[in-house]
Amino acid sequence: MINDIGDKLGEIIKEAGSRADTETLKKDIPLSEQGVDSLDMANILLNIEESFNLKIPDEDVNKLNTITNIVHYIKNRQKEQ
Amino acid sequence: MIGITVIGSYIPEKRISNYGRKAEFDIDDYFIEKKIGVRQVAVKDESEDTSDLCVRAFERLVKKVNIDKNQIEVAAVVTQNPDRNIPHTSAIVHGKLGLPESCASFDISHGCSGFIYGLSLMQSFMRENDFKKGLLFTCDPYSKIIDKKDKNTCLLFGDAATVTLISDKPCYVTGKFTFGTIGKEYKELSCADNRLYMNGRAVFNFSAKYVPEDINSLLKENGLSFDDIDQFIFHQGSKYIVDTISKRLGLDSKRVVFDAYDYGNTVSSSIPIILEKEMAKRENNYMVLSGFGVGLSWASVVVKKFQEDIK
Repeated sequence: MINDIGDKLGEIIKEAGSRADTETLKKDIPLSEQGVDSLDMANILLNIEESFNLKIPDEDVNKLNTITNIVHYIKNRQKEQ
Repeated sequence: MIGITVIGSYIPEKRISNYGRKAEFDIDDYFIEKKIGVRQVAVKDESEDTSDLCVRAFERLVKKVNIDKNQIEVAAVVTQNPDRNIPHTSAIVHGKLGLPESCASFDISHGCSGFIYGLSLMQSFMRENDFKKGLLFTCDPYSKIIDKKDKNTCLLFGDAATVTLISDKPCYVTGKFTFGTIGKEYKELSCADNRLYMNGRAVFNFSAKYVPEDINSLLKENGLSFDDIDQFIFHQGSKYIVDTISKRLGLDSKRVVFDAYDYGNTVSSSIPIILEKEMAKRENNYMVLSGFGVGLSWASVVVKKFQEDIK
């Protein structure tokens, strides 16, 4: 499950058109330190919402700063559904 | 047949460069050029008010076409940053231009969708009253309400004004319009205590979700396909939002304009500034205009070159 989510997340980050090299992104380093800017992040979160049928409230956004955090967040939200 | 005859635009000369704000806002050239797409924003002189910018736009218009002011039957101003609360800015513009006493005037309170709303309202008003010539102004100088320390807004918004002559001798006529409002999210782009606030994520989500759907509906309503459209003119919120909408619609970047590099997001003036240039190109028979933002709202229309021999 985590791998599926991780693969999909990788596609979403790539599609967002970030200047980050999506092949070498580190899972536990903040995306903002790897070339993903605030506009990319808005796009990534929207695509996560649409792909995983979630609504991500603004108050959760700061927690979603690394790939690991995002994958766990999606997994937990799916369990709640 | 009433329609768009000619457009005049005024962009103030003064600029604030975003390159000079890189350290303050922790941004770089890539972010400026490839993401927000705004290298500098146009700013009006402090001595100029909204009505003055409208007058400047009219001066540009009369350099392009002879206009007998005595024949103007209605003047409307799209703005949410009027000269003052009372009266309507269109009355002040009317006075400064010396329009005839028989000329109607009203303001339209709308933001980024305002030009499209203005086209629909003006044409309806003119048809109802059998008017032949009207002036539709757009002018929303956000420099009046921008917090210069707010990265979300101060790097994006610029000042400008436009005026569109709507008459019975059109160059372009409008097809069916589409409109929409998500009023429950009005606070996400709003002004309180004379300070602009924008929730960038909420406005991005709104634009990326609703505008592509609306464009599909618009084309269906007008019996047109994407291949029929020569140019898509989206509100210039930022380069990133224009690119995102284009990508979601699968549009070739050659058919989508981004022009705000050197003046910024001019709210209701963003579409007519570009339309003025695109109307001059012979190949543009059909164009889609789409405004979205404040409200949150959207409004779109297809304009077609006024020739009897095209569909």
